[in-house]
Amino acid sequence: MTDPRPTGSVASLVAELLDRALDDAELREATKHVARTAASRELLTRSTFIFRLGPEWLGLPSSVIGEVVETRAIHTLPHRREGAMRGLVNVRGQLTICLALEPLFQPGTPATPGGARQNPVSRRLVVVAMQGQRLAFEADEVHGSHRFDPDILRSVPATIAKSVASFTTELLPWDDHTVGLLDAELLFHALGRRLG
Amino acid sequence: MLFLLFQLGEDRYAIEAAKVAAVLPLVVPKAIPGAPAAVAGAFDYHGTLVPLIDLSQLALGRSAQPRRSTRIIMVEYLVDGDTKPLGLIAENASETLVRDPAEFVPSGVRSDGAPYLGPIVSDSRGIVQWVQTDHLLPDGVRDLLFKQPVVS
Repeated sequence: MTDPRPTGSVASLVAELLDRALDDAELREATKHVARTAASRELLTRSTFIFRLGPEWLGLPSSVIGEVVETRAIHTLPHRREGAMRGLVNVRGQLTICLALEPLFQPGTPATPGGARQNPVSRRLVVVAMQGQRLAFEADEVHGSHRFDPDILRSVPATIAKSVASFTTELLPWDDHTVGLLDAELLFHALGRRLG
Repeated sequence: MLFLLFQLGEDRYAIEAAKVAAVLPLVVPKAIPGAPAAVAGAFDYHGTLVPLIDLSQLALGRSAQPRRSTRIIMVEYLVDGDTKPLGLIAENASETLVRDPAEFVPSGVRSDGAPYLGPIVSDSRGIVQWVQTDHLLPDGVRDLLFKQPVVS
């Protein structure tokens, strides 16, 4: 008898694997899994990318995060000491504008934070891909993507420092911290203006 | 157009992917006593009881093999202009096929016992027949599963 599938190929190996008989335990497990109600499954509908800037834990929509890489040399540009621009970084051979988010959240902080040298191990370069544009910024620490139930979000108290509030749309309780979820569009629009 | 392939016996059949809501692993259904053999039972799909049809039983008169490749294809079944979820147990439901619907040709054989069998197309591995899920259930089975008597 000839097997119509190409022998030795990945497809035939997969077919062989899938051809195994199911035992009762697996059937019961699948039954339980399929029966799981929406309540336990579908509530974790939103996802945010959590990172830290100084003392502040912040979140950006996971959809705008391109990649997270090791920090690297930032090539400063002449005559660009003002504003949000820190310089250019090389990400996989692509020159990407590196921004400083700190001045937006902590007015008075220089664009080149002294904190950079305090804890270099946890510092990462976060590359954001938005509207076809790639921008990067340095975060003091990166937690990564976090899925959550939108019901646990809290609104931003009116008393919070105005600078943070203007980009923070909601607050997310996360472990012992409160994460300020940022409006990515608003934030990068504001940064874009400061690049000037 | 994307199709999901499965097998009935040795032959391959296809359901258009647009009709498929989900593909699930095989489960242990709750039996429906008195139902025709093709009705494997009903199962709990995220809190909703969904009737389950064994395609092998429907077409060949034997139960589907309990294998890893035997899966439940969730479709939306059209009943009186309304769609209801229906689970189909299909063997070897692990591949897809991309074909232009215009490439399918009439099979030339009309089977009154299986009005769901549609046109055919062939590829390097043989013939694939299109299964029209909307005509899948014999009237008796459809009425049994979806037309519950109204309790007043």
